[in-house]
Parts: sequence; structure tokens; C-alpha cells
Amino acid sequence: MCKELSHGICYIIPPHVHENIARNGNDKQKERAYQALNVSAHMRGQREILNTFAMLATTPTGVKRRTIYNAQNGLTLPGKLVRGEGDKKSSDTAVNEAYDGSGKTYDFYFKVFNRNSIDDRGLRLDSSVHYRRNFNNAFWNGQQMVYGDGDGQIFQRFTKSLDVIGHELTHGVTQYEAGLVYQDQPGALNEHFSDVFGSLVKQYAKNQKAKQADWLIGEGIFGPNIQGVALRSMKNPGTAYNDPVLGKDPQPAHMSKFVNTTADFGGVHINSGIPNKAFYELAIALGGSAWEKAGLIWYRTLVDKVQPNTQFAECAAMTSEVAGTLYGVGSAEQKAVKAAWAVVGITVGTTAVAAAAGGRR
Amino acid sequence: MRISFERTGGFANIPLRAEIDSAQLPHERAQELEKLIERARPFDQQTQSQGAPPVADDFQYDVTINDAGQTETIGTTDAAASDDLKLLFDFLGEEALQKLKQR
Ligand SMILES: [Zn+2]
Repeated sequence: MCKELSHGICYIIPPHVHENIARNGNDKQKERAYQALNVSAHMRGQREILNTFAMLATTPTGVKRRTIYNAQNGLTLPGKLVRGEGDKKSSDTAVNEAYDGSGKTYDFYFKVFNRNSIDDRGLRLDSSVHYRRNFNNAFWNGQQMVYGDGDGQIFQRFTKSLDVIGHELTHGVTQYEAGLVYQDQPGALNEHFSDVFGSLVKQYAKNQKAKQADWLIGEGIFGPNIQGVALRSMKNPGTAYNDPVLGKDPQPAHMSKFVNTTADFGGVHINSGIPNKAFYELAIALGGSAWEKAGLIWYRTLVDKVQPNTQFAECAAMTSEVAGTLYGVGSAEQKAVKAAWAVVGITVGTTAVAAAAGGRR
Repeated sequence: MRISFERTGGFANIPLRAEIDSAQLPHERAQELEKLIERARPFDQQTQSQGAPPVADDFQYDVTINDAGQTETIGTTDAAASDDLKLLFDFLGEEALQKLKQR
């Protein structure tokens, strides 16, 4: 019944099993599954299996594919294709920044975490620049990154800061891995992971130690007359800007200052200051480069543990558990994780804090 | 016509809030606003896609329009809004930003 192929996989195994392995197995398993899918499909001449195989055949690991579009100040996405992978530099600064920034983000994820793009299967990185007119925003729309030019007074173009690009691309990673709901505490965690890896992309590109880094998000995108260094500070949440026109950075750095609001999807860009501060504290406590240990703990937590509705206190417990797995239960690293969360008023192992602060469950 | 406009969220999350009175606008701007509202039909539920997947760093809008004694309120996001509605929001956002800068 079962015909052995040279690679030891029976082609009689239903293709969907191979597909499953091709999707979820380790590298060696994946390679074998691809071969089996390919061979069995050829032998049976099933076109749809070949198609499935073609779809699953990921870009070779470590090979990035970037595509930059120009939305030409309109509403239509993605817009006009202006630069593909390997194409020469454009005369348009925003195009080149989106190209270089997504490349640096890809390299960070691949070299540090061995992750092959947003979906870990070599997904092409699509970006559109010049979206709408004077648009003061950048976002991830579920499929691609989108950048506005800013109005020139409050904001400059959003591609100007590498951590913004790393932040947006990380929303894609979170979508594929944890699927964090974009509301209230899970939404603030979604924002938090984007700020963490956005900052780490920049630190990695600059080859900085944790204590050398500025820990700022959106540094350099404010207009020339705005009184502020950036949009957020992971080191000192609530201190990034204080401007007569814009007001003051509203981020809390402690659970006791948790903001309950219906604006901003339940304050996702506000309360992210709390876990941001915890991550900063951990990175400083562990020393060295932040992506080596703190970043790895957070990455594995995002990929292996976090669920769509994870709350702050649950996320804290998950990071502690991951630190225990990576470095040993009771290790200095695990103790540092618990201490970092304690700084922001979250005790690992209880959920009472989140509930007391009004976190919805 | 009086419009209360609030935009929050977005990557920057700089809240933009303003009261806009069409009677106080220059004639051309007031006409443009009227045209935009006519096209966007902000209170017609058809102009918003229900259950649109949430978009990270999306803008959230809370807008109240008071016209001839009638008041209607709309709460939506860029991802859920039609193109015409986005153009209306961009117009109102521009007005709100001007007011903010004059403060
Ligand atoms: Zn974000």
C-alpha cells in the first residue's frame, strides 16, 4: 500500500498532511514535505496539488522581496509600482526610505530570530508611500504598509524614522503569530510589541547596546517647531513631547496610571507605555544588546504564547515562563523579567492587578 | 451647520478635536463641505463596511453633525469608511488642524 520514496516519506500520505508539515514543520521536515508533495503531485498529475505546492514554496530563507508603490496622494492602494527588489535607487526619498527600512527590518528578523519575513514564509514586503494628502499617519492594513507624507508642520513624512517602519512591519508579524485584538489591553500589547521590535530594528541597525539606545519611537518625524523629541519614549513613557499645540505625551509608566478611555481603540497607543517601560527595564538589567536576551524572550512569547485576548498580567506571566524555558527556572534572567514587570506594578503570577486597573476580560 | 469632530488613534495618536461651524467658514470652503457631505452621506450605514477587519494604527473618528435642529452622530474608522467619507474626514481634519495651530 505504502510506497516508500527515496526520502522516506510515503506518497500515499494525504497531501494535506504534507501541507501541514510544509506549513508548520521544522526546516528539515518542511523540505521533505515539499519534495513529497512535489513527487506525489507529479505522479498523480494533480494540478491543484502542484498549485498548492507552488503557493507553499516559500522564498528561499534570507532572501527578501520588497515592492514599493506610489499612491500619488490618492486613496487607492497599493498605487503605482515604483521600485522592486534589486531595482536601482529612486529619485524619491520616501520610496528609498521605505525600501531600505523594510530591508533592514527583514534583516533584523532573519538574522536575530531566523524569521523569514512577516509570515516566516518569505512574504513579499509591500509598502505604499504618498498616501492621501498631508496625511499624518502610517499604518499596516492587514496586507501592506502605508505611509503618509505628513502635513509638513506637525509631522514630516513617516518613512523618515526606521523604528516607524519596524513598528508597522511588526504589526504584520503579530497578525500572523498572536493575532492580538486591536482594542483595550490586547490592543495595547499589540502596540507594545510593535514599539519593542521597531526600536530593536533601529538598535540592531546601529549596533547599539541597550544602555546606548535612545528608546524613542518616531524620533525625527515631528515638524521643526514642535517641542518634542519623538512620539513615545520606552525609557520614560509620558516625556516624549510637551508642546503648546499638541499637548503632552499621555503615556503612563505604571499600572496605577492606567488610562480608561474609548478613544484610540481603548487607549492602545497610551497604555502601551506600561509594558514598554517593563521591557526597557529588563533590557537594561540584562545588559548587552537588547535583542540578544530581552528581545528573544519577547519574540518567543509573541510567537509561542500570546493569544488574541491576552491581557497585560497574562503577558507578563508568559514572558516569565519563556525566560524559564530559555534560561532556566529561577535563573537570573527569569528573576530580571519578574523584577521588570514589578517596576510597572505588575506582579507575575496574578491577574488581580489588571482587573483592579480596569482591564477588561 | 455645526460639526463636532474628533479623530484619535493613528500611529502618532495625537488627538484632533474641534467644533466646526460652516457659517464661520469662507464661502468656498463652506460650499465644498456641503458637497462633501452630500457625496459621503455620513449617516447612511451603507457607506461603512460592517465588520471590516481592524487595521493597526488606524484613525478612529467620532463626529456629530447638527443641521437645522437635527443631530446625528457617527463613530467609525478609516478602514470601515468609504472613499467619499474619507475625503470628508480629511476636510474636517484639515479644518481642525488649522484651529489647533491657531491656538
Ligand atoms: Zn502601531
